[in-house]
Amino acid sequence: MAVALSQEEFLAEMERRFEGRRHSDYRMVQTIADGTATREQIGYLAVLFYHFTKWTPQVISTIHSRCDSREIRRRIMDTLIDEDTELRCGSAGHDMLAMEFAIRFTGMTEEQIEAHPVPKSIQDMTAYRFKVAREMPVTIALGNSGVASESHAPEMCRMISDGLREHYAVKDEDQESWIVHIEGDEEHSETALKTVLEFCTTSELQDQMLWCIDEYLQHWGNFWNECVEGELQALQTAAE
Amino acid sequence: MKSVLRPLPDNASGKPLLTVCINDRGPNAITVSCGPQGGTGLEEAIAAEIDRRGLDIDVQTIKCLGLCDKGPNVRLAPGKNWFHEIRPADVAELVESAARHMGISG
Repeated sequence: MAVALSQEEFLAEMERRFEGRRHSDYRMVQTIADGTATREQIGYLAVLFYHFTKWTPQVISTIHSRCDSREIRRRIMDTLIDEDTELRCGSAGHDMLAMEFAIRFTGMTEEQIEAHPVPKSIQDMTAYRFKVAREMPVTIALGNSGVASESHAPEMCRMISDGLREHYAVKDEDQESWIVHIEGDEEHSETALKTVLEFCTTSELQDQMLWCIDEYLQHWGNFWNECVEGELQALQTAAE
Repeated sequence: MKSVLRPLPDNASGKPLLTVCINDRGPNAITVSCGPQGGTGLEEAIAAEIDRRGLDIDVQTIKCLGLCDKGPNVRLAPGKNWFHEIRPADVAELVESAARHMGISG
């Protein structure tokens, strides 16, 4: 029978998987920070980020609906309120903040952005998120969202926000979508990490969590690469 | 006032900016927001203090910074720096801290 890792060993294993694969390690994020990304690339990122963000409330509520623990459900509910409403974190649901940024940066309409083609790699990412939320143990599903995705989002959002302000003359009021995640996601990821460390105490659960981190980081890599490689075709398609 | 000032990241660039949260969720909101707690009006007070000291720091407002229960909040960029629970009497100290953290003087 496989022996579970100690909490310290498990944490180290999780951290090892992030090496070179954090959001901030990708060219898209770095070139916004240094001002060399094109406006078309950032516009494409804005559209894709909306199409990522719009599914988040349903992913979270799927996990909430499967959770037997009142205490953990409460933590998930706080995250859901942050993501889907203007009540706790942000002046609107985070999908709408992403939409507002995309509208302001690209000049496209809400309808154009909503109808924008979503590349297969991003569709696969969404399908993966729902699969984990529906099928994996609740603790793993929470870790998938909070640890594998959100834990490295604050630095990425900080770099994008600073870069947009410095090099692309974007005022803070026009980029709330990035700014609310700078601190908010730290809270979400701390909540998720606490839950993961508390409940992932068997080798089977730990292996599942590590598999999810690998898998989600691969999807995020595809996302960031798509932003760099696919922008022109997508924006032309949207403008037709 | 509480402040969270972190070392400037290596890749940070740009003119210092103080962003004031002025969110107002209205009387029926389930959580507090910065505007009614004192955020409204802070922008003018901070801008006046910056002018008085002759500092090169921009000031902007935003609808929400996302840390409502710690408000009124002001963010100092570039980087990840925050001032929480700001009262009008804290404005001079806030501007002084921001200038010192960014290594600028009037």
